[in-house]
Amino acid sequence: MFYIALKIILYDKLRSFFTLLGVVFAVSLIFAQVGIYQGLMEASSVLIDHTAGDIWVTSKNSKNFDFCQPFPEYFYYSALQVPGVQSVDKAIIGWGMIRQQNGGQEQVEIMGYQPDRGVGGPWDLKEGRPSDVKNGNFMIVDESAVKRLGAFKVGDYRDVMARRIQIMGISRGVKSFTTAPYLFTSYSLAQELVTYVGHDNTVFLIIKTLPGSDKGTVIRLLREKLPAMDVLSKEEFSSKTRLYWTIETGVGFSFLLTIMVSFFIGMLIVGQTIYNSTIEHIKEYGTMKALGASTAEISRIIVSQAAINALVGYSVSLLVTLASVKMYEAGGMVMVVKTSVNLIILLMTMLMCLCSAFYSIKKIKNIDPAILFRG
Amino acid sequence: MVPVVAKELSKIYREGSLEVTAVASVDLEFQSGELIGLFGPSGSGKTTLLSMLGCMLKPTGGTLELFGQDITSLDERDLPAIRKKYISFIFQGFNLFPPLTVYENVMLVMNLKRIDPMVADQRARELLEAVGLGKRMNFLPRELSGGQRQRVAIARALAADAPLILADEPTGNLDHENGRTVMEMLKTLASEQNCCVVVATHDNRINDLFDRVVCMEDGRMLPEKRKET
Ligand SMILES: Nc1ncnc2c1ncn2[C@@H]1O[C@H](COP(=O)(O)OP(=O)(O)O)[C@@H](O)[C@H]1O
Ligand SMILES: [Mg+2]
Repeated sequence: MFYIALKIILYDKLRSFFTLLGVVFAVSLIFAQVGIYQGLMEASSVLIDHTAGDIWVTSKNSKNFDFCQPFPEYFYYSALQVPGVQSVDKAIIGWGMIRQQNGGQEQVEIMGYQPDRGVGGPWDLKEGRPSDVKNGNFMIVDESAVKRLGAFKVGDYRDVMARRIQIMGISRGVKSFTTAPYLFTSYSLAQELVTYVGHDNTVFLIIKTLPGSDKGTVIRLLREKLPAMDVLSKEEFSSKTRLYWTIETGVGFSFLLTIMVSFFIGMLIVGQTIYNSTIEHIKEYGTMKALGASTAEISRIIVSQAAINALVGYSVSLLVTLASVKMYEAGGMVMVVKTSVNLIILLMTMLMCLCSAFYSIKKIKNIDPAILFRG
Repeated sequence: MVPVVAKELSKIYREGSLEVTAVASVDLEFQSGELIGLFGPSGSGKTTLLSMLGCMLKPTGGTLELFGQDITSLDERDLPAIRKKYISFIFQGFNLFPPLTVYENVMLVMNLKRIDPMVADQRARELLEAVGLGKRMNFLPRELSGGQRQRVAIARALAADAPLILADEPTGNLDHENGRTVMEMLKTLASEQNCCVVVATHDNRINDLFDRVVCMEDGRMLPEKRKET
């Protein structure tokens, strides 16, 4: 039956081509939406995901990574006492302004980490080392900041919060969701630059657990010890941040809406082609019925047509998507293509095409025998 | 077993308050090896009767037995199996799948009947050879003449290997010569394969070929005149 479906599709090449185009259009749009959304979400939690730490301690009810409030550093010692804790690192995230060479200002996010420890610092450096920001007015800037800050190189100076800071290194892959570039500085410099943090305060405690200890238990003990803080596993903090940006900014809804609209448009296109084709061949399907085929057997031809449309459309869309990843990157967007997500999109495409066959199958079920006998 | 036994078989079409009696209380009995002509003017109920005999249409009254099996009491879901086992159709409009080649059209029926592909392939070639289309197996239906298409349909009906063959105006779209060829094939089929072949037609030019002729008028069966042999 699959073979017959294929023959029917190949028979009317022009119609099949336009159907394929429709499927590719709809599915590519879904791919792009999902890919860009994923890119944005990865960006929103990029620092959490790449920092070597199992547990994050933040101020109570902090919404996400970027909007955490400072709290007293001495909680550091309390955390250190909890059984199962191997190490605790302090880190700071805060907002600041940078002066561009031409005199304009840009907002930046300052990430302060302990240069000797490196936890919370850059993980992939094009130039320099994480420890280069130690003891002085130094920073590491991500290469993606070039769009906002203008061209820069190691050794350049920039004014951050009215202080001359020298660029000591250039990192890779630290693009923020908020579009404000990340600047990495030493912990102590960050305390000064982000004036609302100040001395004796930190923004994060990043905790590593002892090998073999149960993370859940450590989190519970930390929560008991630090009732005024939020204690979250790395994964929880990451998804909390992603969820915040997804929901609060409405990007989630807008992506979802586009995906759903694409889904329905694809369904309509495939549905109406298959329906037209079914009507066109209704006499032959009826004849098959007259010769003993059951509705189920004939439906298999229709479903196969839908499945072929889905598979070919999906494959072409995937190729289009993979080919356009570079294009998106050139445009400053990150598009993520993941196998697991691809499989979900494949299922969606299948579902889209199979649903579209529904009315055609209904038509087959109720073929009026009279049409067979017309000359 | 007798291929067809119908008693007081009738069909009334209802469309809103309008009732059309297409077949009214028909009694018949068709035997194997017979080529039966079902004559009658247009609108006399021939197609409706064939549809009922072919289990494509549910009668509104009477009983129908095919090969000793009561059909009227069967559920809709059991009918495909009956059709698969006993019945084959030939239509005025041929009803071949345009995207499939001649060969594939014939193979399709055997595929439906789960006949082993090797056996089916052999059979399809033989049948197409027999109807004179051995050299056109890979043609599409649109590349054939009407007479050739009807011969494909006959090959298809034969491939189904059904003991009851129902043909509705099989010569209706054919010229005299092609029509005769087709009818002669059906006659051979009845006599050599011992099939029961029922041909609904109002084509009087082929009158002489039938073993038996039954006539309908306004849904009723006229008294039968047996052909002297
Ligand atoms: N599906 C239908 N609905 C309503 N009336 C029908 C239908 N099919 C046939 N009829 C009517 O039944 C009568 C017999 O039709 P038909 O069986 O096609 O006759 P024939 O094949 O001898 O020309 C005609 O009056 C026709 O109008
Ligand atoms: Mg008719």
